[in-house]
Amino acid sequence: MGWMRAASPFVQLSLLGRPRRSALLATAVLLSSALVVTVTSLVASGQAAVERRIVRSIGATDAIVSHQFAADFEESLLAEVARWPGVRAAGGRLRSSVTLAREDGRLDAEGRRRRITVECRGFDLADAETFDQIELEAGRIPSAPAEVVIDPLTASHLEAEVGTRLVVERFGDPVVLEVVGIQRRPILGALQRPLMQLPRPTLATATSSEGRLSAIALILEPGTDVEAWCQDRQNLLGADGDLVVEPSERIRGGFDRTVSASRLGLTVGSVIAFLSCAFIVATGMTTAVVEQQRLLAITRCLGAARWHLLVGQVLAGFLIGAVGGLLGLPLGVAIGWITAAALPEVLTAGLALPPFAFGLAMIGSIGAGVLGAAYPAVQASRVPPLEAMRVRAIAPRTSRMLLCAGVGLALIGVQLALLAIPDRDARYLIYSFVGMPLLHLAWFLLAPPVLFLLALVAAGPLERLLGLPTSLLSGSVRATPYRLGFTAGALMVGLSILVSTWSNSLSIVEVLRERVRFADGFVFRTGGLSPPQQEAIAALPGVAEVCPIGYLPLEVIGQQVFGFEGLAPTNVVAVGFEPERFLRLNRIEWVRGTPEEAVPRLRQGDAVLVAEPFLTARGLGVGDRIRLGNQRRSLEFEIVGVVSAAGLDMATQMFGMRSLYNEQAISCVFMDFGAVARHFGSREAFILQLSLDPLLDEAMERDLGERITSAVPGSVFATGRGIQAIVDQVGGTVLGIAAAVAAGALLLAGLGVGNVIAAGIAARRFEFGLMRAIGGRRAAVAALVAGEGVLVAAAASLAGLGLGLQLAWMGRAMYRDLAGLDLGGNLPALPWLAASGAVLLITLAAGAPATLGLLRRPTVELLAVGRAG
Amino acid sequence: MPEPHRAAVATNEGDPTIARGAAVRLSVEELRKTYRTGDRVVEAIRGLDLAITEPGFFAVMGPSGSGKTTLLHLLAGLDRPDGGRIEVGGERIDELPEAALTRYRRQRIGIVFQQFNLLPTMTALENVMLPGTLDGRPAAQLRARAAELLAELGLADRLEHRPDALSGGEQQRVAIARALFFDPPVLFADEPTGNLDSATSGRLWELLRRLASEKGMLVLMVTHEPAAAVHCRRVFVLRDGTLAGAFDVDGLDAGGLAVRAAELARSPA
Repeated sequence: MGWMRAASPFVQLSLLGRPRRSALLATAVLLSSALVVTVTSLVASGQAAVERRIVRSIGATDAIVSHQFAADFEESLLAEVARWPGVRAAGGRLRSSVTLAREDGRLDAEGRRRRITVECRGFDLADAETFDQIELEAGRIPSAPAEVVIDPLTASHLEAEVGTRLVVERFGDPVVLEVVGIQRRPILGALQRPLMQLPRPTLATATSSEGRLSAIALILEPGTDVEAWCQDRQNLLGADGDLVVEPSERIRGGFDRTVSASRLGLTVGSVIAFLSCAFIVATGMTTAVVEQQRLLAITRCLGAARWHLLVGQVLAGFLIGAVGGLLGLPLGVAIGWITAAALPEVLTAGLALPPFAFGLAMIGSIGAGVLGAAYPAVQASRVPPLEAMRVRAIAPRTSRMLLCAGVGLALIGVQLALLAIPDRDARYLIYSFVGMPLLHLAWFLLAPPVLFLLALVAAGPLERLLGLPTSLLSGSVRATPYRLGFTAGALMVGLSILVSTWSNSLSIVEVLRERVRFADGFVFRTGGLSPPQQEAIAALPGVAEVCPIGYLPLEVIGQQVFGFEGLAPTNVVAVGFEPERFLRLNRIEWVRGTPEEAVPRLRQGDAVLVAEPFLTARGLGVGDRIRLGNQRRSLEFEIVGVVSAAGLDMATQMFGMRSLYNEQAISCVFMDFGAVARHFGSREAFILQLSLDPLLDEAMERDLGERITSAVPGSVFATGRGIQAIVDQVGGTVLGIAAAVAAGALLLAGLGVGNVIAAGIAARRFEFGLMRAIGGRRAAVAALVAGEGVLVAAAASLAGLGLGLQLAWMGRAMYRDLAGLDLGGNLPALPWLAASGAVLLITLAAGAPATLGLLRRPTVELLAVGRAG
Repeated sequence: MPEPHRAAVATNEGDPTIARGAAVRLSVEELRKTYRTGDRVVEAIRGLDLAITEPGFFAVMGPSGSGKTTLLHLLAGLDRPDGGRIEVGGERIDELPEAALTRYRRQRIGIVFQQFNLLPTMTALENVMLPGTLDGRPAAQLRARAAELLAELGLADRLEHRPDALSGGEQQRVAIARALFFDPPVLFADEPTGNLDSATSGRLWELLRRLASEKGMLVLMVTHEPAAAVHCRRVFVLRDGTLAGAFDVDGLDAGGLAVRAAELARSPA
């Protein structure tokens, strides 16, 4: 421990020499640590809430029997399955959708009857508590056939509460229901489907699906090997049957993959956050070393070795990081706890505190401190003893500035070279963990040259504007380009986050707005639309043409996606369509192949079209064959074309099609509707695309929606215009989140800026005192500091724009690689200008306290500081 | 406290002069030092020869630019010569590697500056302990030694004061105590009273003289003040980077000393 004792004076000097500024640096680390803990714990809490919902929806269920293509099957199977060896309890489940209205006929604000189409989950009253646990925020679980539990979305739309009586709109005798409970379920926005839970026989009656089940939930005897048991039963069911027996854990498997993917994203985001923090610490500590150069030189005179100074700085950085990190942990927990308390409907499992959050925060904090101290440590160790005696100022050498610029540009070159890595998986990982940090470091090093060049151009006009003597401002910047430049570097990170996320988000929204062409309207019904129902809709006034779309969850047999085993599912969605009508109603972009060649092959039933992400992820091409189906039945299809149909993709997302299957399909295959029926026994259209009369306005479209819901109870109608509005809403939310993150980063950087500006003022007290002594006005001193602040903010703005655009460009490359999505470039000019203004205000505000302190001190005191040891 | 240098000297403990022995000497031969500042080349020391072979209080004087501060820097190992040799305590220091030179500054000599140069974040006690702390020694040992030195210099009641709570004279005494931490045989002082009033300065010169005689040290002081030099045994006068001459103080007063020094400084090379 002798070496620590020996270095301890330098730790003390570094931290206690300017205690307030050391505290500022530690505060920057503290906020980063708290941010990471908060975000990580809230994400974990959200995942816990989702997992809890999954657990509650799966409940005690060990296995599930279902139709391999999510179709309904005979109820009589329930009794047979219940008699299987090893089954302790079996419960029937039914899924469908119904249209509800208030029995009292209450109207909405527009004078329309209050009605809503809801997803329904039917369960057996006898085993309501055995399998599933429905969390309630009011009322109780149904105990009679006509009792139901609705979710807050349904309750809100119908103005219903416990005791309200509802009626199911259907052909035939009305089914009257009584609300006995309101389910605890967060309202998650535009894409959420309303939900109702009720006794299965009641649902069967309401939807004319008596004698049908969607699934059978099983509880097995304790100690049963569920995987093995399911495999045995599957073998007994035979290869040609339609039923599959799966462990309920498999349903959770997709969730675990989502957790892994989000953890990866969190880690990358944290690396960037702490890197930004390291910049702030580095700038602050470097400034301190420069300020304390004389004192450090004195210690060298007295016999301090270079390593004393080096280790002292590194230890100081370690302490800043460790203290800031430790103090940030409870703050992060507190913020997370407050957020969880404020959003109990969303974070239903309360606040989760994964050890990963604390580990990441501490490692990142200490890393930021040590990394930030590295350069100042080297700088300190190079202080020659005679520095103590030196009184003349030394101007920075141009060669060093060129070196700085050269290294920065070289790092950008390295980062670009990483894009040439042939293996996509390696490219993605190396970009995330090496490329992005290198890119930030590169622009950090470029910040001083950017400031220098900016000063050459802008310092003169700024001097005239501020009434400063010629060359005072430009000379000041030229004298300390690194301190000011790296301050700009610390500020640029927040700007770059804003520029990159807004650039790509705007591009995505643009893609969705400009490239997506929605059909005029869509009709969706859980359980599908039968041919008579399709005809009923087609016959309605205002409907010009209909095109049925089938949606089947399938698996790609024997293929991997991305090579990230466990990070993405092998599920796809097979879209069944009538080719001619489909091509007429949809804007399809043919990436490869032509309709003339492809359509006849589709009609034959052994060919598919695939979406671009499908092709990209699997590295397949036109002419290749894939096997689709499930483990029990699969068929080979030839890829005869590559298309994209983003409008259809958005519509299915809006209708929650993918919630039919717990894991999200990442790509689609398109096949002939008749082929779907022939191969997989599915004849229902899950979505009906409508071409509407062009004379219909919004009000008439709403009327049509009402008529459709009346004609086909349980159906949901949405116009393309309505989906567009939802897209805009979601896009706006994403942009808002990006802006909030950027603002947080800017505020964080503001702490570092304040530290550096204060240090800069302190280091130049003698210079300012001299200015005052020879007749300089107080205003001139303040104007000089403000002028430097303006240049720093401008340099940060330019560097942030450069880094942000480059990050956006890299992001687009990743989108292309991983999702096959080709985004155009976008310059978010207005957000960038607004953020630049914020940066300017932060810089000026951060420097205000130190400037005011400087102006209050007597001139003689400032001069004495310069002469003293 | 371990005292590395005493292990090699004679055992007459009663007379520190004899106890220091060969450690209390320094010499320079054909010493050269040149500085470059932009386009300017300045020959600060040009072939300087000087030798001191016994303990005592010595002064180096000369006009501005004569090279006296540069000489001190070279003797103290703060800079390296461009030519010639430097021996302190029988060891050539101009050839020492970086680490050894650092140890030399820490353990073998003491340095006192004009501007005190105490670390503002440390107390008087901690400032005096600094050389020992840099050596990685346990704090308990260091505190006792530092307290002893400060008491010797009349600062027993100032141990926990920081520099900004001390007067100029007190700060310089703390600096001297720091310089004496490892009981070096040689002490260099660069204009140690430049920032002090005359009364305080007088007390400080007397202190340095006493250190030289009572501890058997070689104290070499750079000064431009005749009032300081009269406390010394011998004065070396530099001119234009060379030794113009030397004389024993021998009862001279400040005025007489000034005249003598000026004559040497003006005399032809």
